[in-house]
Amino acid sequence: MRANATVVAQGIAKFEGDEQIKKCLSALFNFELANTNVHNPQYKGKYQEIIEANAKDWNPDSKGAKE
Amino acid sequence: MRISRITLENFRQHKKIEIELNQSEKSFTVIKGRNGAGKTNLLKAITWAFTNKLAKDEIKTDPVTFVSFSALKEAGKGDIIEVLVRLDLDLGNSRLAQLERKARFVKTGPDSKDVQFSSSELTVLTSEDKGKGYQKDPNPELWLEKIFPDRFSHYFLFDGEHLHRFFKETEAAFVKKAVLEIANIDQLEKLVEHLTTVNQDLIKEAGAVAGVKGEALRKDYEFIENKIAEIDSDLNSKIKARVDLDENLDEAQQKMGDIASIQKDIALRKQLDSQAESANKRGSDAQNELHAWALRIGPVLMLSSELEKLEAEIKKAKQNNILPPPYKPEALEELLRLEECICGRDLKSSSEACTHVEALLKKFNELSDIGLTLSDLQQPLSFIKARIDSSFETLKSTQERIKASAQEEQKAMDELQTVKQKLLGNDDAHVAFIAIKYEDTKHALGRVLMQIGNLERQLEDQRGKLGEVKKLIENEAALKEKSQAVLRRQKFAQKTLEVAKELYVSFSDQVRNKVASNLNDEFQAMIWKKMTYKPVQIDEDYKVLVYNNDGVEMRSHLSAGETACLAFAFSLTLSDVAGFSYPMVIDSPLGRLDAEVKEFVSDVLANALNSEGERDGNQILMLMTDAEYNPDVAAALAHMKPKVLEIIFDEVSGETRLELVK
Repeated sequence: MRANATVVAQGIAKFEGDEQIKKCLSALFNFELANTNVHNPQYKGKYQEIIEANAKDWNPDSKGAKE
Repeated sequence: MRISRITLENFRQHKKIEIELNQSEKSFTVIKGRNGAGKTNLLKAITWAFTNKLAKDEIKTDPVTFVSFSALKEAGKGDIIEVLVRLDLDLGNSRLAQLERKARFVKTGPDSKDVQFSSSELTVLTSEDKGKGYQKDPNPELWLEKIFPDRFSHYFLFDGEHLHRFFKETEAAFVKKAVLEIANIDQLEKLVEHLTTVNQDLIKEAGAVAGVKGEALRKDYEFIENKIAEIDSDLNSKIKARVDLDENLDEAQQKMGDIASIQKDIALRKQLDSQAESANKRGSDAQNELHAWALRIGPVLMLSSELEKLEAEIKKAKQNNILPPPYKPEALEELLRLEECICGRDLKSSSEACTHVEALLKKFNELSDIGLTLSDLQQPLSFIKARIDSSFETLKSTQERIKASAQEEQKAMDELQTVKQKLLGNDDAHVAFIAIKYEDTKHALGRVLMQIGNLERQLEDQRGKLGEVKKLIENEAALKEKSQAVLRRQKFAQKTLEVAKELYVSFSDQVRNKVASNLNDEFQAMIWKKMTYKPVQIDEDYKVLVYNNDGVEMRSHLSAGETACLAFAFSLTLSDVAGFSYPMVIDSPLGRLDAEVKEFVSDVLANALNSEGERDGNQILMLMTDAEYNPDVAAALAHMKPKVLEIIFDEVSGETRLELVK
């Protein structure tokens, strides 16, 4: 809700780079938002999971920029 | 977001109170009251509802400072006292919400202090449309964190008494923290930090699973494969050779018919040949012996009758004693040497007697020789005779041997004839050739079978090794695959990290510039000495810089009123940057201000509602003492048409009530 209104959330949403990286960043950012008040969140597993899910369909040669 | 209604139950002085805030577009409400009337507790109640936090965690450590006095007085031992704060919120775009936080306490004794915290609870009801009822949110804490992160609270819900400290605390680090938090850039910073760690983990993981033995194993595999191909080829040629040899063997067997029988006959023939030859030789030897015997015994046989006669005569002569007696010539020879006979006659040489004796001696010698010879001859004659008899026995035996050998030879020859008849058509040489060939073929086949066995064992051995290498390669390949997957993830994480860092720098600059720009706008709108200051800046270290027209940095020299303006401007700016408006609740906003600036500050604060920020709604709730809300201030605020309420604490009932101030 509010997260979509922040500069970062808006900036990520407007990011015109690699689509998979954009999705990954968005997922990681949402994770951080959800854990704002969690002291020492167990992020590693979740990060690995998000990275793995997005790297699967990632084309390393993709220039990323939208036409 | 605006607060449209505040409901308190059993919260400190407020036994039960409902506060309807100004509902107009520029929601400006002033709640005034005497010291101790409950204004500050109203701010605490709002803060608690939004953040579940109170100073020093008063709820649990000192419930008495949290629970309504009158409720404590009324409750008996064991009674439950429920403290409630409910905020009715207008989220804009017809969206409504009701935030309700409750804390329960148990009265443990007769005294007001005998109370213990029991439990607390947050409930959020939301309505997407004003006309369509409320629904309970399943995760109220998360909802609240999204709508109003509690770390934002102190930028919007604050005690004006602390305003003078606002920018002391808001030195660069504070400003930076506030700006980054409000724009969620701190989350991006955390993201970068976490992603850096995870990326490093991925690099390590990729290193740990990298299949470094792969190339060596591949070479081993190829080597074994080639070896197997070599053995296979060898084996195939041996198998082919075996087939050929089998065929040759079959052919030889066909040609020879029952090769075993023929070979048996051939062996028999050889044996019979040998037997015949042996018999022949024995016969021949016996013949030779016979001839030798005949030659040896012939003269004897011819003399045998004469010898027999001689023997008879000797025997007869002996019987007739006509053989001369034995004599001793030595005696006569002694007499002759002595030249005198025993009778005394002269036996001198050439004497008659001597001549006579000498003649006699000669005669005796002669006679004696014959006698002796004849006598001696008797034994040899017997021997010879025995030998002749024996020779005849030998002759007989030899003749029998010759006969037996001849018979045996004949028998062998007969049998040989039969065998030869059987072997007729199988030329010996041919049969021998085939037999040799057959034997050779059999031996060759044996060798080939042995070689095949060896090759098959080698093949099995190599295939076993190949299987082992294959397993290793598969393991290695799995590692490689895993490594590739990890590398891929790592590359992806690296790329994502680079982008995140770029965005972090970009967003930080963007937000910092935006805050500086908005802060300047808000500040310039508030202050009356508009021509005195240059645009407010925030440098790269987030230090707020206010220069006068002479280029002198003035921030630390701003008046209390100007500092308050800067603080309010900063709060409004943060709201702008957050992209979402928050109600600004300020307790004693003018408390520490000099009398001459109170009017001005209250005016600029009220005017803040008119600022052209990016907020989707503005709301200010000021909690003022009577001294703050003096007639001058009231007059200064009048143009903003505030809703002014007064909290009155009834000492008798120990409760508060509200009155609208006209």
